[in-house]
Amino acid sequence: MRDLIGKLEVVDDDTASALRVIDHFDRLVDERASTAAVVRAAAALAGATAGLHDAARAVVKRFAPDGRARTGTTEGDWRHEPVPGHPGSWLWLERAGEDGPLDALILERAARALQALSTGSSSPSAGGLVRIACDPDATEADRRDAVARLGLTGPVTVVLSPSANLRATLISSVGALVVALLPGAATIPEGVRAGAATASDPMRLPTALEQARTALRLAGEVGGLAPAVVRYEDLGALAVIAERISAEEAAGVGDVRRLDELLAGHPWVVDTLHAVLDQPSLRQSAAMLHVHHSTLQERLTWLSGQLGYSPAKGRGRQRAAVAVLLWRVAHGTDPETVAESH
Amino acid sequence: MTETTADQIFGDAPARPPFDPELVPVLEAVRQAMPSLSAETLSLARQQSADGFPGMEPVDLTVGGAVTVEERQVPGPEGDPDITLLILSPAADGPPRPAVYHTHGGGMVIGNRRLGVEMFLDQVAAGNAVVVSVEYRLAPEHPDPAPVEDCYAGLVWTAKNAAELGIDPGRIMIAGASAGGGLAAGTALLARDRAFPRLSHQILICPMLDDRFETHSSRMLDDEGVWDREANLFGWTALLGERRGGPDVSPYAAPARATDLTGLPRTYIDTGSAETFRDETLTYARRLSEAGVSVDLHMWGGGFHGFDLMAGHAAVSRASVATRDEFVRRALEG
Repeated sequence: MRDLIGKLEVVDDDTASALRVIDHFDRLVDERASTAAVVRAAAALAGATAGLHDAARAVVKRFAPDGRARTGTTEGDWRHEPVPGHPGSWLWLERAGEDGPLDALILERAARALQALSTGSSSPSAGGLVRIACDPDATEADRRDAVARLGLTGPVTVVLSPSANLRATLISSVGALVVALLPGAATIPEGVRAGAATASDPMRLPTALEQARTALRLAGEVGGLAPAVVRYEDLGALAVIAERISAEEAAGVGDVRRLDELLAGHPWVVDTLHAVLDQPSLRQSAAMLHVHHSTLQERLTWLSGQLGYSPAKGRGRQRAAVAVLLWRVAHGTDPETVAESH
Repeated sequence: MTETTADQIFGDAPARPPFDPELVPVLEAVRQAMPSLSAETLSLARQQSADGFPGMEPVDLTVGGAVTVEERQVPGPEGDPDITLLILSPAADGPPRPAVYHTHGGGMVIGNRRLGVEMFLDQVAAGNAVVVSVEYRLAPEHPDPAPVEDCYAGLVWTAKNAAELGIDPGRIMIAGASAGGGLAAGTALLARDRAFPRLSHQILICPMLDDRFETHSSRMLDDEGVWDREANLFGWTALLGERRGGPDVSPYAAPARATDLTGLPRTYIDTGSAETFRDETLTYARRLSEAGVSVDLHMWGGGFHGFDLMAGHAAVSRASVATRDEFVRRALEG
């Protein structure tokens, strides 16, 4: 069973690759690996020579992607990644040409690993602590310890995203998702599809994680009309639907099936319904859709005929709102659930 | 059919050394990428080894034209089908060169003649060696003695046709990793007992030698590391069927069973300290030494099975590869 594995180098910027990078450095910290091992891992993952300038010890370490030590200091003008808590220490990748897809993430995680390893204690990595704090199966004592080590005291917001672009200081992976913990009244990062929930007390993080998962199921795509970031607290009664109804069940509801049928030939259907339900007037709905008022009127007339109810008013409006919500439940499944259902 | 699992046979797993810290993240990635070998995962694993593993780039066996790549159909064992040999020779003319006869790994059940040959490619490109790698039949479709007899038949053909291949017939060594290490050791025993051909060295890389599961290390990995006791039981049972662990297993199939190790070639043998094959490797090395064979033995602390190719960038891997490469270099120098 030799020769059975590829290179470590990450060549994609997909979530799986990002999680591989995050997990790799977390494990090095958990195993109390050496400083040199962290630099070698950065080089192997990036597929480029990596270097560490350690001012306090006055050393420079450089390694090629195959782990070979390289001598001499580098002449190039590489971007410095400071090692937190170590003034005068920084990491770099000697990348000629374009950056690799995850160079920034590799450097950031390597720097944080070096910071964690220099504490001298045998505590788990920050990523490991995040996982323990959010794990419903962790003992209360372990969770209390993890929460304390992470320095969490007041409210904490859990952000769960399928995107590797979610960046935060306290970050880890849960299944195929990236999880970030934002202490206090931190702003939720934009530009990613995410669900968020706030734990009033950090000991309640496992519940908040499940709530963030629920919120994620209702999040729209980045750049779409529906918000890409959904807070559980904003859902209220709507959360009950996402919690109690599975994606398969939602997809089987007649009104949802009808939306899917119409979408096949008319990609604007759900966005149009969203705008109509979201805005107080049809004029504002039309503006949101960037279409003319009369175009929206034509669409609504057509939709009423196709759906058998009028989505713009009265009971029809309520029915359309529930149908669109269930449609999101049917389609907003997080990757982990997809994997489990196979 | 009733499944006999290693758990039922061996009970709790005894202690094992910790894995090297730098290897741990790679070990986890390996375990995610490759399911442990079993009857259920066999066809997927064969497909992966044929297509290349996820993220693995195909190796340019020609090294940009420095190496001539050739394949030959040659006679198999008496009454059996022909076998294919992959032959890698220096493109540049030169005097007859020493040969590395290679038996690939893959638990006796997967892999092909290309698997692992890149280990010796630099030496071919530099004009120092010819590599011949044999496509032997795989278990369980072809149980013992098919694999080791195919390996031996290919070796005999190579030795008899040395002149045509540009090989110095007096300087043929055999090399293999994992199951390929076991087959290399078994083939070396056959070559000794049948008095042809004479081998200069055997390079046994984390070799699979013992079907009996009596050593400590053969029981210590239970659903952890690479090639745990369950996978090992699957491999040996595929090769030997109901004979596994019993009295009717030949030393050519399981070289740990050989009672006489005299007259075997100069040996390089290595293992990780945290792998299933550790103890059979250590015992084989000691017994070869007691039989008067010159042995280089290396045990790498914290290494899992195949660590130095799967996590080549790690410090312990670099030490292991550098040590082995240096031995091969000296062996080829003659």
